[in-house]
Amino acid sequence: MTLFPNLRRTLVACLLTTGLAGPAMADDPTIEELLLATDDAQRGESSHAVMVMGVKTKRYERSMRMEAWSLGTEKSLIRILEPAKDAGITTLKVEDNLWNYLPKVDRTMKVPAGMMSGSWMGSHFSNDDLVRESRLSDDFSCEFTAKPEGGAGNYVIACTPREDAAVVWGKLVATVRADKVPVSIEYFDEDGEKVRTMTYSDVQEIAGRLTPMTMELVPHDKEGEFTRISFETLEIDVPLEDKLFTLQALKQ
Amino acid sequence: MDRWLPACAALALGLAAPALADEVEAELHGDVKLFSVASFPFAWFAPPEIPPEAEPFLPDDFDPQTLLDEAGLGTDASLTGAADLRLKGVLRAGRSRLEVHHALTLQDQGASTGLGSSSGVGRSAPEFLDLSYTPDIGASTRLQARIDRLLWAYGADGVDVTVGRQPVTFGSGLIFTPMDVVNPFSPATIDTEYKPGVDALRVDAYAGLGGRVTGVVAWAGTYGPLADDADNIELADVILAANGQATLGVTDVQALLAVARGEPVFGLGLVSAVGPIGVHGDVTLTLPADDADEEDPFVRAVIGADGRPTGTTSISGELSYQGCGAADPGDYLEVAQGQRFARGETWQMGRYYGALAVSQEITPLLVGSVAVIANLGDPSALLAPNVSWSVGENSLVAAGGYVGLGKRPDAVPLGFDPTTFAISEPSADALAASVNSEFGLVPVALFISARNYF
Repeated sequence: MTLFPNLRRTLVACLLTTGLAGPAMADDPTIEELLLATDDAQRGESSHAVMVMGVKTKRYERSMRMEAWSLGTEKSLIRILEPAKDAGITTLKVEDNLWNYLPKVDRTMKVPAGMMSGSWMGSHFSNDDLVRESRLSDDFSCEFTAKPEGGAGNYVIACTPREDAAVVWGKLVATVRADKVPVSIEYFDEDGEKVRTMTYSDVQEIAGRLTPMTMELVPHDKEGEFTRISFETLEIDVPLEDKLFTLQALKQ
Repeated sequence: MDRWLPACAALALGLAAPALADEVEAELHGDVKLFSVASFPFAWFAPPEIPPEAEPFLPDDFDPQTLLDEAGLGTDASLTGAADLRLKGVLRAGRSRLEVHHALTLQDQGASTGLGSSSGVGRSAPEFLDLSYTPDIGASTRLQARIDRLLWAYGADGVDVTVGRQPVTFGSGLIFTPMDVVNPFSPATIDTEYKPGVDALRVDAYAGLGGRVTGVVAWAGTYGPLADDADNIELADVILAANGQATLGVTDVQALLAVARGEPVFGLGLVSAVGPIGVHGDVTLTLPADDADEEDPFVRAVIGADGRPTGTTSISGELSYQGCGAADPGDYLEVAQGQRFARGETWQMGRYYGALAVSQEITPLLVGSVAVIANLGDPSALLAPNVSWSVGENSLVAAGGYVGLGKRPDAVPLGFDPTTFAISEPSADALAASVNSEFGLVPVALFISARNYF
């Protein structure tokens, strides 16, 4: 799903830079194939979804229902359906531009890059997770650390930043099933401490693809807390036009 | 009842149009808000002084307290309350949307709370069609019913048309909004969640990603054409505005051409980013109408920046110039009694302003903020601390205040000129305020509020 383009792109970037991964076995998919499949499983060329995001922390639980459209990795439109307090607030992201529309005051607000570091809607995702286009293709190197054996197990791919790379994460570890369905992505800081884990579950066939319908992000420094996104409906490779991702759509 | 007929007809038409479509989606939402505002005039802390030079002009037997009360410079604190219920209905069918909001506000009038302490609920706007009703339920309590939204919107390829009562906003200013020529907000109100709807015809034409041209005709007259006191509609009764916007890289630029109540207004705006800092700016030039007190053309401008130094902290600041404001505090009351102030076109009396707002997420549910709006010419400031607590998925409790800081006004005999020490009244038996700073006039106001959305 295009909600998390930089997560996907991070993964893809890692795979694309993986001449380091060594030659694949004859029947093995390459790292590139695995991560592109992961990317496609989440998104496709376009998508339309209704999803529920649940946030649990020590102090509270909140949920939010949204409708989202995406086209490629650079265009997305998200409209809040519930809770009633925030219903109608819409976010449009096109390339490096991000706008919020507040219908109660008819105000279209451009969100500067410097405002994107905060939590997104009170979740464990940041605004940056939501909209930033990854530029990590030159920053990470990836390699297999495990492969399925005897028809059991998963592919495990470790991605580490190059020495001069200015990236947030010290390492990413992606686990992908043999049928190319993503299982998890682990995020490590520069000290090698695991910071958060994204897991994928509830795999269903959508548009002929096996697609995880639930994603859960667990921050390891906050015991018992998580953000879970579950798709109520998900359409992949639906015909969407560029004009859906304009200021006109933001207001409707 | 006659005045309701056009509204009913419009509503019926709006309802009928979507009903003809194959698929109709209906939504009904709303919210309930409660406010309580305690206000302490500056005289409550220290009664205004009477300059020694003015004392000879006062009667020998004057009662200072009575005169101060009569001059609105009394010391009484007050407590007011308000309850606001808003029902929101939306019908969507194909590319059509009909939206209706009904706002019902019960407000305890109490004593005058002065500047800066209005709850902001029950705000209104000029009405082409009279869709408000205020029954007489007593002197101390006011009940107001208003249809605050009654709009039909249709979106075609690249064009949106919206007819009816709707919010309209232009410009990028957060606190100072010179480009917002249609019914701007005052930040000195507690509740700015909904912008009052204005009766307007609006057309938006879109091109490319961020290209948009907006044309608006909005009603700004005192009485609509069907009101008992209706007069001929004149150019001074409407606001005509055309606003163009384009996105260049990560920069949005805007140009505004408007005729607001007969006065040409030209504006330019920009929103962009410099590294991690967002920047914005608006500037307008207004050419006053011939009968506008012989005013010269004036400029209003704002520049601002905002950023998020940490994931839980956001800061924004603005500097503003208002050419139609008064340079001398002694002229503030003249500005405050002028038409621009009365019709909400501006809420500032001076010329040079700065504002800084800091918001800190204490926990994801508890957010504290402090805003300071300063008149740089007096100097004086309005301090506005606020804490809001999300007590439930759709419930919010907030508390805060507005504190005016600055040199308080003196009490002088009516007609007394504090500059020349002369008096125009032959025998002064009343006092008036001699203003020394803008926000020195503002009382201390504390509020609590609770909101629930459904």
